[in-house]
Order: sequence, then structure tokens, then C-alpha cells
Amino acid sequence: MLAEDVLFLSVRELGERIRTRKLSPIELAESYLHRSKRIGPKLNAYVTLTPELAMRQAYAAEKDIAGGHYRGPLHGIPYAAKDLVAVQGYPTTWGARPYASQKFDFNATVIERLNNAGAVLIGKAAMIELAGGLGYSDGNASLTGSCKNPWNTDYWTCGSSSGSGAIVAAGLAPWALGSDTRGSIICPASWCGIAGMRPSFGRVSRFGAMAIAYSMDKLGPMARTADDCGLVLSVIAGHDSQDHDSLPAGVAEFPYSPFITAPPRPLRIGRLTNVWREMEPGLENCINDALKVLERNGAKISDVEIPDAPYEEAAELTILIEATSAFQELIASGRCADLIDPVGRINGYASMEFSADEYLRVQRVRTYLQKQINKLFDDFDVLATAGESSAASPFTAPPEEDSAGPVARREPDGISSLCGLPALSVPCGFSRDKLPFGVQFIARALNDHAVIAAAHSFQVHTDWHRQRPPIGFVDP
Amino acid sequence: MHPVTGLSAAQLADVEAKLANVVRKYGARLTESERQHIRKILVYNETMLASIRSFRLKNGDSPASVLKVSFAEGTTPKEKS
Repeated sequence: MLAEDVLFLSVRELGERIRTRKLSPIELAESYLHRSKRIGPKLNAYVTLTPELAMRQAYAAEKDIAGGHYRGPLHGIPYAAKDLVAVQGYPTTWGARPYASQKFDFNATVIERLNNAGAVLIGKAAMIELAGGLGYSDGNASLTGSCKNPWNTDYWTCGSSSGSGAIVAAGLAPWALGSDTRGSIICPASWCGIAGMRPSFGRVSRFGAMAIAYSMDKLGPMARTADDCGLVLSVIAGHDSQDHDSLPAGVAEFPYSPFITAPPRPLRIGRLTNVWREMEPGLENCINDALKVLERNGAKISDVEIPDAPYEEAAELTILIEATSAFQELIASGRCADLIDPVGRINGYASMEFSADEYLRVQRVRTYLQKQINKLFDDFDVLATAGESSAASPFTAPPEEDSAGPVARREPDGISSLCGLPALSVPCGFSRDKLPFGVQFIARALNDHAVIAAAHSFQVHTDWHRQRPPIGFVDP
Repeated sequence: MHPVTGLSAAQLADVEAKLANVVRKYGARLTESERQHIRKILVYNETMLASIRSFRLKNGDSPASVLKVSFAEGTTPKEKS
């Protein structure tokens, strides 16, 4: 088996070794599978491992590359996919008991694109049931149980791409596919100390992926570095006529290299000052330190506020109403009673009471909010803030109640998800409990290069992304 | 205005009407505790809707959900016309 140091290399570094035939895709897949079998169950990180498929793909990659047919940066690179994308012949459980034996006889478009790129699927990653589509109150709301944070297994990974976060952080795969309707990539990336990118809405096809909110769902990469997120996005982005909301050909594609991503002038960064109700002590200093690193390297930093408007309300209502339509059959049949979370079991009944007028009104307000946010980007290339308002929460924390307290109307995930903006979180420090903090960058819709440029520039000058969890206590 | 929920009497009446409708349709599936939980959710939803309703809109302000016309794969709209 390969040394742990190799398994924590970036996709770019692994890809270069594979391209130059210094590393065997077969040996790499075997090593990640071995590690996943050993450590994965201790973290509840996977729903299903796919060793037969992985080894078939790894052998094919080795043969292709030996024959001079190198396909690109993901050729021979193992990955995991959140268990809401269809993989032909394997269970696709959506993380939920009512779908525990569900199988599809086709691949999701994103899986097809990865197959064509020669990538190697080693497993389906655990997730919050229905990706939280009908609501949930804690990390236990998953078919596979609470996903444990590799930095400290008494703490949660966040969700809903919980397994994807744990897998990358624990070195079980170099990258994993996640999905994000409102924060489901950014939060686990932040809590697990890895890079996580939510691409612009419509850039990555969702055909064959479970729907929650049709107008907000996105698929995106979770990896060690922002650069790796760019590499993966360059493969999975592209127009797909099977996804109604896919961006047009010529717009959806994402040609990427760190050189074309570097902006022609100093990066203009707006530090968001009014989005979180409160932040964990120490986090604000980490964000300020991160921005100082960028400033020392040429970026222009200034403070900016999000105007007061019902962003969170519009995001939450859009998700509630669209999810009720997406899961209408589950709710109407009463099978939602089989969900684990008490909120998920009943939320659909409440949401069925929304009217068409209410939905349309939310969407009309949304158009206005989108324009308002778009204007901010006349002055800034990216907005910056914490990936999440705290480090990971312990499993002993009381369940969160969606319906408690006033609405936190300017939280960044609601704003950026509602408006289809790209965002990327990378690690930037640690809490007093030695749990990772993340800094996230948000850009104008379709300016995915800007978030990668900001995060990549930060990572070139820091080594937070090279820190590894003390996995010894998981795998003594 | 209700001192805890911040909702008006009319808004609270809406909540009760919605709860009655849920119970009418799905009451056989719900425990008393779940019905109370649903009331709490409906109050929260009503609070969010109140924010949205207070936002001034004009007749021409169109929704973010639109039908996108399609055309044959491999052609441009110009070629099609």
C-alpha cells in the first residue's frame, strides 16, 4: 500500500505522477480502497464502497496511459460521489430509509463526464437524508448514522455533504463530489478543513441527481485545494440538455488553469461585515488574518455590508416549497414517516399549505434581490467571510430547531444560493478545540474563476490546507 | 400583535386555518405532539411570508422562475428562425 503522505497529495500532484507514470492508478485505487475500508466505517463516511467498479476503472486507466492515451487531470484519480447521484447498478439511497434499496439503470450526467475523463469511483458518500430537503435538526438524520469529523470524532462534519467532507479530510480519497442547495458543500468543507466549491447555478448538470429545490440545487467538488476544485470543475462543467436549468453551450463549460484564473489586476475583495449574527471567538481574527495575507500579496480589501432585505426568507421559502413538490409522492404516501428526523417526518405537511401566489411572490422578490446583490460586484471581484459562523459542533449540542428565533436574514449561504453565485471555502485556522475554521469567497454569477483565484492565492501563501487531522485516534 | 410570535391576529388566524387543513387531510397520521410541532413550523413560515409580503412589488416585477424556450440541439435560435 502507498504511504499516507501520498494519499494526502492534491489531485494536481497525483495527476502529474500518474501522467508521468511515476504512480500506478491501480496501486492508488487499491490504497484508497484499503484505507476507506479501514477508516470509513469509523467515521460513517460511506454508504457503499464500489471496489469492483473502482478496480475495473483503475485497470482501464493504467492500460490507457501505458498506451499513450492520457485523458487529462482526473485520469486514474479516485473519488467518491455523494449518494444522491445515480450510478448504474449500485444503490443510490439519497441517505434516507425510504430509498435504502433504490437503484437506477443509468448514470447521472456528472458520473458519465467523470467516466469519460477516466476517473475512478471508489464509493458513494454518506449524506443527510434527502440532503435535508424536508428539514432536519441534527447530524443523526442519516441512513448511515452521524458522520464523524476526522478532526475529532465527538464532533459532526456538518451536512448535507457530510460523507464527502469526512472522506477528503481523512485522506480516504483526494476529492469527492458534493451537492449544495444552501450551504451543503460550504459548511462541511469549512468544518472538515478542506476546500469546497459551489459552482454557479447551471454550470454542472444535475440530471440523475436527487432534486430538492430545482432552482437552487448545484453539484460541486470538495478537495484539498482551490486549484483541485478548478481542475474537477473543468471536467464536470458543461451544457446538458437533460437538465432544464443547464447553462447554454459556450457558457456552461469551465476552461481552467491557475494561470488563466489569475486576475489581470489586483483582486478587489469586499470583507462582509454584517452577515453573521454571532461568530465563535477567534474566528473573526482568522478571517482578518487571511485577508491580510491576500492584501500583502496585492489584493485590495475594503469592508462592505449586505443591504437589509429578506434574503434568508426567500431562500428558505423557495427550498421549502420546491422540496414539497420534489418529494410530493413521499409526503402524500405517508412514507415520510420512515425518515429519521422528527422535522423531516412532518415538515412536508406544513409546506403543502403554501399557495401558488406565495411562491410567485417569493420568486418576484428574488429577482429584485438578485439585482441588488449583483450591483455589489461592480466594486468587488469577490466578497469574503467565514465559511460558517463557528467550527464544528459536538454531537452533544442540542438539536437545532429551524422554527426557533428570528430569521437570520443575511447569512451568506442563503444570499449566494438564492442568487446562484459561486462560492469556495478553504481552511484558514483552528478553534481553541483544534477544529478547522474556513474562509469563503463569493463572486458574481458565472465568475467562478474569481473565487478560485482568491482561494488559490491564499493557499499559495499559507499551509492550512496541508494540516491533517490526527487520524491516529480513529485508526490506532 | 402576538407578544411571542410577533404575528397579527389575521396572520395567526391564517396559521390556524392552515393547521386545520393539515389535520383534515393528514390528521390520522399525526400525534398531538406532531400537530403542535406543525403549528410551530407554520408560525415560523408565516413570519417569513410576512417579510416577503411587506416587500413592495410592481405589476411588471417578474418572478425568478421562467420558462426557457428550447430549440433543436446543435442549432442556434437564429438558425431555427
